Amino acid sequence: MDASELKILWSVAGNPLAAERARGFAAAAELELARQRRKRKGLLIWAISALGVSTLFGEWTSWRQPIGTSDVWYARAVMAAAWIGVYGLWRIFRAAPAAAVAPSIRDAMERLVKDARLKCRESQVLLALYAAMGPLLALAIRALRESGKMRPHEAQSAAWLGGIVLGGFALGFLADLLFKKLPEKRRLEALLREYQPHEPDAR
Amino acid sequence: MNREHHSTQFEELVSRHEAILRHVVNAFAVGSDRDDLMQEVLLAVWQALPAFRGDAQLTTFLYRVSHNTAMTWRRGRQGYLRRVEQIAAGGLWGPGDSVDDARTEQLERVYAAIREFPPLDRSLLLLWLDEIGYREIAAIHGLEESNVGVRLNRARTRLMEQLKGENNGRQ
Repeated sequence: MDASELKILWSVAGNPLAAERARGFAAAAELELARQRRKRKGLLIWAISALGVSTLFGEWTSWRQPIGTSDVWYARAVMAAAWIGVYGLWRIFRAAPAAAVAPSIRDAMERLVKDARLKCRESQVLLALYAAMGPLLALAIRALRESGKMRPHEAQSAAWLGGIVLGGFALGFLADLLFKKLPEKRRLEALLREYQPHEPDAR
Repeated sequence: MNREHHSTQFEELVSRHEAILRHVVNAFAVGSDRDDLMQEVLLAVWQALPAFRGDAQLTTFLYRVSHNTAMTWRRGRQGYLRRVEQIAAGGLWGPGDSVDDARTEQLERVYAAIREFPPLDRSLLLLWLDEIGYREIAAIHGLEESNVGVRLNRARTRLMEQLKGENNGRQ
């Protein structure tokens, strides 16, 4: 087969796309996108509300019943870490499809790579936060126990619960980073490398 | 862009240029993955359409979005698209097949040979087969025209050798 025969073969139509089905797909895709957006919005509203109420309640309690300055700072550090996590969620919520507005595929690819690197960095920041939250939580529990605001068995339960929740989330983020985000970043970087100028043909 | 206009433009685009989508899907996926990739390509076109400002040809826009989606597509990450599939009952391929079996088989061999290439070369070959000029290919991909020429020459030679070798092997 030569190039002209190949072009003739290529121009033959086959397996036509059914317009009716494409229309059905468009409607379904729109519904799915709206559903995803609603879900992410709901998660964000829930996280902001829960954290907002907790923060306000904590501040109100410390204002009504002043406790040791160190206790307040441990609690504030834990809350700050959680707010940074919510900020990460908000950024993901606002992320736009990179390929939609890029002037060329190379630009789209560069944006995708940048986006993938950003996602990896966000995961690393979140992991660091979880790592920092562990000792902070332990210090906060210890301070509460020493000040008599928490009984030993309550402190033990809180430590277990905090450890399991923090450890579980940290493991989840680590798995997501190692098995999903980093391989995806490497794959996109390899695709972008294909755009490097080709050396002249040696043959 | 209002919803009705968006839908109308999408339908027109898909029905008029379905061959572009079909070629890219066949060259980047096989078997039932073709439905998945087609869904992802259509979804990308649907999402990108409001961003189309008319500063390029509609076909150039369609090539850019569909090829970009296919090049970055990864098997097995289309979980949520499966739900779309459930809503849009049935596959996206029409039942009517106007090509005879021998030609379908030949075409499948061409697609299989194209799938052996790295994604960028695969995309360049498809654009060349769709009779797109070097200048437009360069604009779609953001490459230098000379770079497109060098890459295409090399890829085309390799493709023809592959097809020739296959034909000889079958005789």
